[in-house]
Amino acid sequence: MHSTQKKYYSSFSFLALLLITLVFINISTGSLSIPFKEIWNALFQSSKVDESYQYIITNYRLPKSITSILTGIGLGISGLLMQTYFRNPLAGPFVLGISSGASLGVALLIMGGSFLGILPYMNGLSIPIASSLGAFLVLSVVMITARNIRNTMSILIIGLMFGSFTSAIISILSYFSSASELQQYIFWSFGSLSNLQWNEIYLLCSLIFISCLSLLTIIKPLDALLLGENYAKSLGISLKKTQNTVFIITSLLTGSITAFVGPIAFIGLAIPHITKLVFKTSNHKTLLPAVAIIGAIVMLICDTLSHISLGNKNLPINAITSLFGAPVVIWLLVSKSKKTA
Amino acid sequence: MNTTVLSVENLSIGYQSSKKQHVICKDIHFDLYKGELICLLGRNGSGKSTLLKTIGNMLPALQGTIKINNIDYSKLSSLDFAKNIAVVLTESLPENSLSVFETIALGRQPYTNWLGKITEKDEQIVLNAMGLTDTIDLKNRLVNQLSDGQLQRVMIARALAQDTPIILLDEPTSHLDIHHKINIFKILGKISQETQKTILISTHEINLALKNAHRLLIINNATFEIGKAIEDNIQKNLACVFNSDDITYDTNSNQFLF
Repeated sequence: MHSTQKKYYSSFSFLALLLITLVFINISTGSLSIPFKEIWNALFQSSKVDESYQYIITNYRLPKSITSILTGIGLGISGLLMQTYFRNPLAGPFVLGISSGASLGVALLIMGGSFLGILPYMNGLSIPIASSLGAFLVLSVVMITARNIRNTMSILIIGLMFGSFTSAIISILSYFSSASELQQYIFWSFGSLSNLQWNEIYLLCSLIFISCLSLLTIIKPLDALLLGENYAKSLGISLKKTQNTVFIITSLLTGSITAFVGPIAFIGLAIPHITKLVFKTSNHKTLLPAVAIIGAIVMLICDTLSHISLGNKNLPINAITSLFGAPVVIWLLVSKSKKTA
Repeated sequence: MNTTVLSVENLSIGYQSSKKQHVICKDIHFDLYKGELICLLGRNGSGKSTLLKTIGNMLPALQGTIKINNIDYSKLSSLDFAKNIAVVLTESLPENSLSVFETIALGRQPYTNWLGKITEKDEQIVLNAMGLTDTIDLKNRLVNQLSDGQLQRVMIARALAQDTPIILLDEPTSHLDIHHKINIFKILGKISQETQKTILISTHEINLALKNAHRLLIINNATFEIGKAIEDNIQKNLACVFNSDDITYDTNSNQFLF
């Protein structure tokens, strides 16, 4: 018991160190590369720093790093919650229809905007608002449908069905929309970590903080669910209450992230698997913070990779997460099964 | 002196669908006493699991009352149930990487604080449960890597750690070879004797049940009987439920021959 605990402490300190290093690398990388010393000065000794560096860091690079970290934390935790709740390794943050709802909202705004006559009123917040409304709408429909369903597997399938349903509507919208509208929608669906202002970051940060606080109340039920629903119930766990808390936290985390940075694929599904391979435990008291920190690390790496410039273009973040993440997960799983075989 | 732990009166069991009730067995009456090992016998589909689930509060009773230590089920919260009834189910565990110790320690959940912290006292109770079930040397193994026999002992230890007066087991010896079957019954007998817990087992192992159980509960064609294996009505019932061309009850040796 105690030796494994000590091992966890050292893993956590290593990961924390890695995270800090990656923040520096992340801020330093971009079309203009900034030396570490200048970053240190800009963050902690603002008198000694070059003004243009200071400007870039406080207005572009630092917000982008923080957004990456918040995104990684939120999607990692949501993914773990869904995988534990549905006891299904294929579940991810978007199984409840949040991403499809958000996509539908944004698609309606961008591609149906001219038709609906709301184009003249669009501003910077229109897309987050449309995405939140869409996510909320589809999520509510999924929840209401799932309300009287005992079998969690059916809830999972219902979520997937709503996903297909909304993507069908989006296909129809795309078919009738102009090339520039289509392009604008596609660009949104790539995701972007660099569009956030400081006040939006504060909002996102507080939403994620509140969600993480409420996580503390469901650590016990989540652990009990590792034995299956019936055993959990026999241990005095209220399944309905747990389901509601899990769904609300996931919606809050995933919904707010999707609203601000777009539908980031893959991270929520992969991070819990990577974490379980590193930590080899099912205990949520260890897994939840581990998922958060590994999520942040992976997101920072992906963002850094996306800013290694190809000419003047950055790669879309959504391509990076899958392009580099998928092989990593496959490699981890293969090497794990080799060890046990 | 028999202390009643669980009393069942006028109980009907079965399934409730939106339109009608499907009653499997009714007018069930019995009391279970402290420190007793009871085997629930009956053919497939006779309602053994339904009765266990109803007693374990996983299914609502269609009619009648069940009381634990004289308190009616309707007055108990889910936490009260968790402190009074532990279960060992037939369902397999989901994929996880829990160690044996962690799995058994989950049995302490009704007593731990909001973060599920295992205190020294909890750890002692878990170790005791491991001692009674011969699982100490499995302590750091992963539950997903255990054999069926080892896993069943771990799940019994988990139920023990829950520290309840009653333990329900649904066919704990299916999938096991004859050695492990006998071993599980021996362990359960030892537990009921040493901890004075009431243990109710549904099983198809008639001969092992005849040998080890203090009393037998027999469900057959919606009728119901309880008593010691040597009592006349039980012997008659056993013969009537299980006798066929292939299998007969031998009254001299008190076992089935086939």
